[in-house]
Amino acid sequence: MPDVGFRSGAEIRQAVLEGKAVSWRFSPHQKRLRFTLPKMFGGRTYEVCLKGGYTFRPIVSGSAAW
Amino acid sequence: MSEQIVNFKITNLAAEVNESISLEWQGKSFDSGLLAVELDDSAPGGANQGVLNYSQRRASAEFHLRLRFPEFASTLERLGLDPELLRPVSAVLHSEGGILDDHSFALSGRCDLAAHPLFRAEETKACILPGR
Repeated sequence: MPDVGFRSGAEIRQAVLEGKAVSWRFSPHQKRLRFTLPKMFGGRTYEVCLKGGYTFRPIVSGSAAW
Repeated sequence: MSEQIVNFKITNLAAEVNESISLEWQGKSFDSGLLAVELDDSAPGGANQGVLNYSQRRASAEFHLRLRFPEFASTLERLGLDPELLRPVSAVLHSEGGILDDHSFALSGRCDLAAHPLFRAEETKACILPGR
């Protein structure tokens, strides 16, 4: 979900087009990460929630990123 | 910059898992403690980038990450394990998904784990499940 400071998707898109960094937070109650431990640690598979977020900064100039 | 295609740099990611994860080690069971996920700032310059395709309402991003169990690592260190064995696990998350109306993302995808002496890539799997 978008971080605080924006009221709508259109507002965020405008900020992105202006080259501004935008942050998003993981929904803290959704099981987003699935991982399987190696056998030496028991080999179990877990699905767990992530608490935190990430930030994207648009690349205003230059060629395609990847 | 096209208004339909936007390339971006991932400048930060910080997340943690607080749920209990049971790790077995030499016949004993340990609570992993916190699992920390961080952006790998030492990744090559072209890493940690992505694309927003507004015409298709799709996003893709490649996150270079480090995963750490700091509390479990401390436990193993107290038990005398070589600190080299306790270094973070490096992973590359290849994610893609829809751009939603509120401009959140429904990103999901697999993680490729780098070689690690304890978390061997042949047995250790990770992925991000669909969500937002």
